[in-house]
Amino acid sequence: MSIQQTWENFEQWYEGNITDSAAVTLHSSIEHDDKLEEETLEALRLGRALEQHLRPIRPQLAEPILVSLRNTHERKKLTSEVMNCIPQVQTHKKKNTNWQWALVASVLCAITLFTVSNNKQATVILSQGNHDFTNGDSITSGTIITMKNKQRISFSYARDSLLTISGPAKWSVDNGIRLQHGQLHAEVTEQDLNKPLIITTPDAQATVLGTQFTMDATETGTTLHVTEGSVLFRDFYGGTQVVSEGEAATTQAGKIIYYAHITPEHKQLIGQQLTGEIDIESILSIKSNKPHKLTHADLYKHIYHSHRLTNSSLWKQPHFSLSLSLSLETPFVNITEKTVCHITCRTDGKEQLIVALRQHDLPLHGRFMKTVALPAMHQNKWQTISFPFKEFVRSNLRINKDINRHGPCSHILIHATGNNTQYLDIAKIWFTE
Amino acid sequence: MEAEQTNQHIHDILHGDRDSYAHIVDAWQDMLLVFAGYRLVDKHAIDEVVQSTFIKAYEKLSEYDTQKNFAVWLRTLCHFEILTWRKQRKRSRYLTNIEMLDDTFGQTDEESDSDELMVQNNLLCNLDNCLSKLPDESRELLTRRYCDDESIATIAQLSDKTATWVSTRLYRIRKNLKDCLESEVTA
Repeated sequence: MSIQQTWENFEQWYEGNITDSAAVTLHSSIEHDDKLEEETLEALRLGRALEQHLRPIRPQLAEPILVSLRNTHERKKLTSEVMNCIPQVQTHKKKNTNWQWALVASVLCAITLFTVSNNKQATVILSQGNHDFTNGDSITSGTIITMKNKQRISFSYARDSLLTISGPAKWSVDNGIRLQHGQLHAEVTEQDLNKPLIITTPDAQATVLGTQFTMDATETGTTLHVTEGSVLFRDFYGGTQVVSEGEAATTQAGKIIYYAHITPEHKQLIGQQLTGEIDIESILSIKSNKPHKLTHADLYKHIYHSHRLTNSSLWKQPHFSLSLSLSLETPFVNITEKTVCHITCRTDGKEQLIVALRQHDLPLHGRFMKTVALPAMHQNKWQTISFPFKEFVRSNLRINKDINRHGPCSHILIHATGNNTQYLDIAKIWFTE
Repeated sequence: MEAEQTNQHIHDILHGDRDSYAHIVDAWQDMLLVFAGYRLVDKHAIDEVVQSTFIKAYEKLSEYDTQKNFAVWLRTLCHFEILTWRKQRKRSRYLTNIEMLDDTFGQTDEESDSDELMVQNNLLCNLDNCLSKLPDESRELLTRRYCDDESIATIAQLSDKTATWVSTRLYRIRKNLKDCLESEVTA
C-alpha cells in the first residue's frame, strides 16, 4: 500500500469512518513498520491536542464539577443526620455485623420514623377542580382521596410544609402521606430530626427533613426529583439512597435502579410542570434576543419519557431508537453558517445522535440535518456537545434549493440510535452565533 | 493564573469556600484538555478524564504543597486518571477490526508517555506560537479539520482536490508543526 493511501486510511479512521477492510490494511501496515507506527501515533496525538486547542466553544467544566462536589457533601451530611436520629439502630449495628441484623435495624428504623411522625394536621389551602374540599378544610387521617385529571389540592402539613398533589391521584394522610399513585410536589419546612416527614408509595418511601422535591407514583414505579436539600429514598426491599439537590431516583420492580444528578434547568422544569406551563426561556437561550415561546411541546415530558425508557422493554433489545421532537410556535432560530448548536445530554450508550432543524412551512425533507456521535456518554454524565452547522448548511443548500440560507427554523427533531442503550436524557438545547 | 493567586484560591477552598474551585477549574481546564487530548486515543473520553482529574484534585487539595508548581501537580493527577481510564477500558469486549486498530494506538500510546511527561508538557505550551508560524493556507486546513470537524471528503470536495491530496497535505503540516514544537523546546 502506498504511503498516501496509508494516510488516507488513517484520516478515515480518525474521523470514525473507516471500512472494515481498510482498517485491516492500515492495521497490518502499522504493525510491520515501526516508523509508520510512530508517525501515525504522533499524527493522532497532535490531532487530538489541536482539536482541544482549537475547540470553537470552550467547555464549561466548572459547573458540573461543583455540582458533583456539592452533592457528595450533601449526601454525606444527610446520611449522618438520618443515622444519628435513630440511636437504637446504631447500637444494633455496632453489636451485630450480620446482614440479617442490618435488615432488622432498617425495619426498626422505618417503624421508628413512621411512629414519630404522628400528630400532624393536614389543612387544605387551595383546592382546584375538586368540590369535596374547600379552603380551610381538614383532611381526615386515613381517608382515601381519589382525584381526577386536572384536579389539584394544596395543603399544609407537618410544620407548615406545603404539599401539592395533582390528579389523577389516589392518596391519604396517615402518619405521613401515602401516595398510591399521582404526583406530589412538596416544599417541606425544617422537620424535627426525630420526626421526619414520611411519604410512602407502593414501592418506595421518602424520608424528609426539610427540602423541596417532586414524587411521581405510577404503576411502573416511583420517581423522585429533588430540587432543594436531600431526601432519603428507600425502596421496597430496603435499599436506600440519599437523593440530593439536583438529583433524581426512580424504582423499577421495587428496586432503585436509577440515580444521577440533573441540571438546574431540568430542576426548574420540574417545578413548572405542576402549573402546566413551561418557560422555554429557561431551556433555550438564543443570542439574537428575539422573543420565543414554547407552546404545545412539553420538554419536561420528553425528558421524563426518556427516563421512562428504563422501565420499558425497549432497552432489552440489542438496538433501539429514540426520537424526541420539540415544536416551537414561532420561528426561534436563524440558521447560518456560523450557527453552533449545543445540547446538554446524557446516555449510557455510544450512539449516533441526529439533530434536525426544520424550516418553517417546509416538509420534512426541507431541513438542516446533522449527525453527531455522542462523546463519552457511557458513564452517565451530563455533557454538553457543541457542533457547528457550517458544513451541512453548505451541503443542504446544494441539495435542497427550498432552504432559505438564513431561514428561521420552527421545529427541532432529535433522533438517537444505539446499542444496548437504556436511556437518552436531554436537558438543554441552545444555539449561538 | 499566577502562583500567588492559585495559592489564595486553594487557601479559600480549604477554609470552606468551595465555590472558589470554579476559578481553579476555569484557569486550568484548557491546559488539561490539551494534555489529555494528546494522550487519549478515544477523544470522547477527554472531557470525562479532565472532569475526574479536577474532582480528584479537589479531594487531594490539602496534600498539595504550595511551594510546588500547581500545573505540574494537576498534570500528574491527570496522567494517573488517564492510566485508570485505560485500565477500565481494557476490561472489555470482543474487538472488531476497527477497534483492534484503536487498541493498537492505545497500547502504543501507553508505552511511550510515562517518562516524557514533563517534556511533552513544555512541547504543547508552544502550540499557539507554532501555529502562528504556519502559512495561512496550512492554518486554515488545520482549522477546518480540527476545529470545524470537516471530513476529508468534504474538504476535498469544497477545495477541488482529491482526498489523498488533503490527507497527505495534513500529514506534512502536522510534521512541520511537530518540528516547530520540538525546536521551540530545544531553543
